[in-house]
Amino acid sequence: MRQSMRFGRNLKRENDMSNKEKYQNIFVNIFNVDAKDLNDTFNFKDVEKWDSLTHLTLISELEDAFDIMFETDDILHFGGYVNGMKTLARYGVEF
Amino acid sequence: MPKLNGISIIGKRPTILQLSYGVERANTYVIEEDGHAILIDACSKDVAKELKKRNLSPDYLVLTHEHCDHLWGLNAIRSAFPNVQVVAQEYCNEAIGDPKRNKAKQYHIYATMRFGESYQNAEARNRTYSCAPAEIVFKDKLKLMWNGHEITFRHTPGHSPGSMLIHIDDVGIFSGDSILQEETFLKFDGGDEAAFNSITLPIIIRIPDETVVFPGHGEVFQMKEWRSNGRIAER
Repeated sequence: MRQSMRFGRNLKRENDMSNKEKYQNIFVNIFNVDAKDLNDTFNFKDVEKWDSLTHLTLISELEDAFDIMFETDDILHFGGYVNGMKTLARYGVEF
Repeated sequence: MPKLNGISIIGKRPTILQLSYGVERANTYVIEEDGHAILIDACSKDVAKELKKRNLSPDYLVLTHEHCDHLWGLNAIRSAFPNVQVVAQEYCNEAIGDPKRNKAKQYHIYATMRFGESYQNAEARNRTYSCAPAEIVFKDKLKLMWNGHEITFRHTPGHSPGSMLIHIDDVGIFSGDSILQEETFLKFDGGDEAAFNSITLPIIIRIPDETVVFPGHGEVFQMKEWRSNGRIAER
């Protein structure tokens, strides 16, 4: 009983996570940065670790987390933390 | 459906058809002799239609590795030819049933990034694509006789954990993505440069110059052409 209650609380926490938190966590984990580093300067051109492999991982994780499938143009031009939220908004993700 | 770029007929006996699909030029080979056929990879659902057109029923379908661009047609081929026996390396066999490990989950992203807006393949947008296990599975090495030919399968990790080379006597080597005219790509998730260098490269460097290589992408070539590009010297 205790174990399932523990699991239940963890599951609730994940379900309660806002879209903004989910989005932020993906960037934090992939790029190994602090949340405070994520702003409108966090983009493809300026982040050294943002290469084709991390980009592939990022797009894949975002698709999974928000249950969407990006169009070609959005895969190719998803280039920044802040603008990325605007892109996701077009897929119905509310922040 | 991906565009069939071309059908090349190579050799006289056995006949080898190279069916090349899409902008990535993923190759399926149909080896045919005396009414018997073997397939190397299944890069599109359209492979089944091509076989029906030619009145061919494959005995074996060999998977060079577990990446989805070499598997898109496997389920359709199994439906069309229920008696076909699929051959896979042990890791490959496990991975083909998992869209994450067979890369179906993210292939459309990779292909879009690589080929840009010209990339159009509806099959690649199936992020949940998976296949049932193979009928014949091996770990390091396997030999089969087919229509009088000896076929040797060898596990060659590096590009992917479940990659193999297939050597058909007097015909050549079907290399999947382990040997390509461009450098073998080892940086996908699951790629392993250490395994490639310690296990696969010692096998590759022993392949004679005159051996014909039938790669997973691009045109057929001889080993001496691969060597002359300096890849062994670079390593």
